[in-house]
Amino acid sequence: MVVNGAAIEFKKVRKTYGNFVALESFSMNVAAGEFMTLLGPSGSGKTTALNSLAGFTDITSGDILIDGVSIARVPTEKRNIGMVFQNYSLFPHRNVLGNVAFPLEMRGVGRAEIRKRSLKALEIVRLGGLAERMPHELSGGQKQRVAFARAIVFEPRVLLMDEPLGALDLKLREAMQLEIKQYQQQIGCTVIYVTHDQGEALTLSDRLAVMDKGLIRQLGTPQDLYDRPNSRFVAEFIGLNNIIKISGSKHDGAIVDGLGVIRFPSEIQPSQGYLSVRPEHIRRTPTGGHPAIVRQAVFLGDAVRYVVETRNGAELTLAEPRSGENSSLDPGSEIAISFEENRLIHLPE
Amino acid sequence: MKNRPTTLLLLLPAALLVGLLFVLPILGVLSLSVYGDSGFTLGPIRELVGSRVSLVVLERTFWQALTVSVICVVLGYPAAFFMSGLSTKLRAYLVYLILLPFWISILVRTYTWIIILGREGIINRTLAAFGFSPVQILYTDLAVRIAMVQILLPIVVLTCLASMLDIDKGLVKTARSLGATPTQAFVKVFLPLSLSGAATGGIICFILCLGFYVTPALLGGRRSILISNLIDIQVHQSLNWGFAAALATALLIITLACLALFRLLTRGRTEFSSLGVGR
Repeated sequence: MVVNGAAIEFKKVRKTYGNFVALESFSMNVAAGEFMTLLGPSGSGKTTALNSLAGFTDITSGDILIDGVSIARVPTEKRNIGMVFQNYSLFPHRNVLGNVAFPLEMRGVGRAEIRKRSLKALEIVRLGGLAERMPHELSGGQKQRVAFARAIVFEPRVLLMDEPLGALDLKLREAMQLEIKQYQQQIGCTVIYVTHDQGEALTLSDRLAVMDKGLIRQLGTPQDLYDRPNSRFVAEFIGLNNIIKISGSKHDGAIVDGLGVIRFPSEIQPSQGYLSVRPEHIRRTPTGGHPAIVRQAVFLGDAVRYVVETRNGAELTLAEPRSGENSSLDPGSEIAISFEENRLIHLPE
Repeated sequence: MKNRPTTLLLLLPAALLVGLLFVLPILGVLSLSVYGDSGFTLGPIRELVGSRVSLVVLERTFWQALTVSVICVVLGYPAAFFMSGLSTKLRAYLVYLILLPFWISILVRTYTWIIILGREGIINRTLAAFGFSPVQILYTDLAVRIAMVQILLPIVVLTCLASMLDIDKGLVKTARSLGATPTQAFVKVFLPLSLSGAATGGIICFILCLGFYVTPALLGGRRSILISNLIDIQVHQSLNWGFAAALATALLIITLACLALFRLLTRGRTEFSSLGVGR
């Protein structure tokens, strides 16, 4: 089962419900075969974007194109888009095979062919032996696999997934993430994936769009967004981050609250906005640096995370990889810290 | 917790009531049909089998019950479907309206039909105004059927509605995303999932029909009486209690047989999924 993914283009899509703007000037190009994730808190418009592509929501203005053809006026059932829902949405009156066969029945495929292709789809999700089970006899992970098989059995070129792993426990979720990625690479369809879990987004996506209040705040590869967030919102949403306000500048650096003058790796030193630095880019130094006191030490197995407070009252989190069997510092210890200068990010807002 | 003696005690008052006021009398009636003054006898049953009148009335009772139930489901299902799509608030008002007739006694509602259907009633006067000759509706099977549908329809609507509200609306959406037209989504997903509610409504309606007494007595003619009326005649006029008991027993057995048949037909309904492809 291999398909050519379709290219998707959102063109200035706007969707309002009364006075509430769910989606504002939403433009995005998704390449054929790409795994694109919409990441954001609830109410950020990510599900609205997905629903407008699926045809569940009429857009107020703008246009959506699949392979250059507008689908804004095409009814849901003619869009030929596979969709996986968070609550699985399996038909309770049909067994596993009956669920997977449904899209093929709707397309008037012959009975023998339906059986063959449905069983094939179940093989892909490794549920070949459960074809006769009823949905209520399945575990959460199995239900999710059936929903996935049902969404790909008619070989759609676009697959939409709305928080598909949201109802599963952490361990199963991580295992399913890898499976989903593997299936997608195997089948080749374009995927648009909606989640509020940033870890999931980083693991799965070729690119991701961080959304807030109906707007795309930043769109890029997981690495782009992790290394170069463009705003405080993105920096806080993805990964653990230290964000400190900048209150002015001098010729040799910016004045950062609680830290004093910090030199950014740029030509012009910022005078307002925020400093952003990841915990792994702060180090303990034997000499020099900023004096600080350890407030909290969290043992993470492969690393120790310290919450420290500088002499002027800035609170920072730093992560230190563990080597050997040295024990972590006790709260109250006095240390000095320094930053990896070229990893300091200036956030204008 | 479930089967502790103390919790079982909670069941006692209701069980006693049912036992004393329902099971014992029923057994009494059942025994009346095979025990006469001179001990065990098959007389009443022989009388029943040999009585053309009772067989005709039994058949009519079934025919009425069946047609009324089918009409109620056919009228009630779409109404319930319409209501299931409304906002909770609007639906609550409609449920209230549907329950309104229950505040009025069946007797009064039945008499109302005489005003509507009678020879000088609203229908015939309207017909006369347009120059048509009057039609005989009152004191026919049709009049009984109309009134029974009116009385039983709310029950069917509410049973259907309850099962429809249990259906996850997302399933219809899912069906659409998988390629089903709105009609296909209804026929393949919504209808099968709401069928059990419709069937339950129909069967409740059917069983209630079998026991109707006031409506056929008031709106039906001599030839529209149902089994309850016949039993009443045996008890009050003919004073043939044995025969009345035999009729009651026959009614009970046939009702139970219908329930059993219904169970048999619906058992394993979910296994008959996906046009047999899934099997």
